[in-house]
Amino acid sequence: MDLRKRWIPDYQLDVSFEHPVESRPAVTWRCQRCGKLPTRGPCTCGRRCYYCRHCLMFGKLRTCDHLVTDPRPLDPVRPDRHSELHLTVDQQRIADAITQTIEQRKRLLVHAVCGAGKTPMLFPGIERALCSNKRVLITTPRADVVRELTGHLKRAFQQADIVSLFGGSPDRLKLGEITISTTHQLVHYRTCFDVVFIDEVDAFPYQADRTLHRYVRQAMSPDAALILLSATPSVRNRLLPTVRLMRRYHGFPLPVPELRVPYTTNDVLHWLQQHPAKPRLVFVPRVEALKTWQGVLEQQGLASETVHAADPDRVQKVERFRRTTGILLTTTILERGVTLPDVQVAVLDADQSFSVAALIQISGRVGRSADFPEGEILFFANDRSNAMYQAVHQIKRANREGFQ
Amino acid sequence: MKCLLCDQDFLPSWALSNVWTRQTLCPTCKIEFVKRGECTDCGKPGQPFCLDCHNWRQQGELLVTHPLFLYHPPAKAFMRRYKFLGDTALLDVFQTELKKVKVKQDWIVPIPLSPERLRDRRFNQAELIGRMMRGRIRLVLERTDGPALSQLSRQQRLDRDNPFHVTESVAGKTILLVDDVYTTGITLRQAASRLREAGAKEISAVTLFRSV
Repeated sequence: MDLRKRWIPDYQLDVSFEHPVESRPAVTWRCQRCGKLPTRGPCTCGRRCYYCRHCLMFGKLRTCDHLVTDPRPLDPVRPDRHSELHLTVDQQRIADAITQTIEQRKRLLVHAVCGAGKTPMLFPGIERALCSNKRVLITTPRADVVRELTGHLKRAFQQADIVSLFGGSPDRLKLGEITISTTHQLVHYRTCFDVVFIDEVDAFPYQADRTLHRYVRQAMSPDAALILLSATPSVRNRLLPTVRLMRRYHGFPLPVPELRVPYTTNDVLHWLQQHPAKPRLVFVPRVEALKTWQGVLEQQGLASETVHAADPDRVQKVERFRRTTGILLTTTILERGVTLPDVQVAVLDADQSFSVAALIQISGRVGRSADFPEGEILFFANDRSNAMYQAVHQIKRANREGFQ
Repeated sequence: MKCLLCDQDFLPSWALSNVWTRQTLCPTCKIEFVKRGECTDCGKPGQPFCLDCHNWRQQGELLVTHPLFLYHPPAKAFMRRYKFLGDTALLDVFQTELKKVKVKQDWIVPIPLSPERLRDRRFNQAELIGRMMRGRIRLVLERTDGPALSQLSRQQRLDRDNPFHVTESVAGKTILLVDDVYTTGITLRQAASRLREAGAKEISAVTLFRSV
């Protein structure tokens, strides 16, 4: 087990670990792993013992525990080149900006629309980082995005040591030359990454949870370059130096959502029956609505499947949906990270509890592949919310900016 | 107030009971525990006197146990977090229920952990439950045993030798045993028989959950 730049509780340490270790108390006035304030708890150690309730999932830390690490420095990074790449002129512009940021160790926000081809734009920057002995981290709040990115990068960088970290991954506590990780898993890492990409910065839970920001900051080395990637950045993130890419990689404009206000159940059924040969993705605002809509569709003889966040076989269901042409009812969990060719999307009750970012991301599911660059995206609503109109407005504005 | 599960601030309801109780979970995290069942001896749902207890009575091992709740999925999630992850502060969820338990016995005796297990876990979950109740807690039992109970089958559990022994004099005392989960009842009955051998007058038991 290699522990350099990683801190783990002493009771998780192998007995066979022969290298010298450096240790420090696990909980002082705050938890030394996650940084939150601890809670008093009973303990047989006999002292005033506190434990951290916030990072219990990674193993309980008490005042009487220690965190240990291996103080030796890390091995240098092996340089590696990415495989052949075809970037459009716009993508090349962004890739150059990223490379420059990495060289100058600065911060950058890449504001690129859904389906702009963000992943290949990172490759020149990653290559430059690897060649100048810098460790690369790509982090994102979503585990499914981690899985997808790992596949992309393994294909692009053949020799580099690529580690993919998410809850239950086999690479736990490893450190590669390129590390792809969910933000939660960074809790064990300290000052080891020189180039940090955060994909989908505005996704739940990263945007709301300040402890995750701390995990990322602790994992960065002091003069690391930080590059944020998003299609819908928050106002706060937009304060950073920004490069914008408002055009998809295949050069077609973003499909503009159509509003259906007001609507009846028959409108939805009619629309679903119009596209019998295509996969149809239907978003609903709440988990309870999944069951009711499934019942309504069944009465009309339309078979459908449902997915929500707490669904145990959600990954398999989406995989199955990729191969068939059916109807998938889902909550907002599928708003990002899924690419389905020729998918048609409807949002039911779009006025309820969908934010602007969510609606833009949902609209971005349509027409992502170059073979089917067009598709329908419909907002069904019985009331008008600002979010719906702002989403439509921002998509139209992005199209104007991309094609001027 | 802070919710114990999601750590978010929430506004407690304006019920008068807030004067003497403390709301620990916010409305969205509220865990719906299922109350105990009908069996008078062990709280199993179904009949007023269940088959297990009938068998126990035929063997002459009488022990009346009062579980508070049934061991349903929400209770299992609670136990996973409380006992196996070690989130001891979460026990506050049961503060009001445990305070309401009427303790007329002289001593509350929690079921002990084996020394090895206590070294790993560093707290005794049954003792914490006992300390929440209103009564005098005495640690008069000790345990020396082998494998973990949760890895044994029902028959293996019933065949096991008695791992408990009494360290103090309990002659003439009425005793309330406390444990976290009642599954077959073997643990509590073994402890009870040792206490009875040592001269305890009357023994009953309280557990947090009754597994179904």
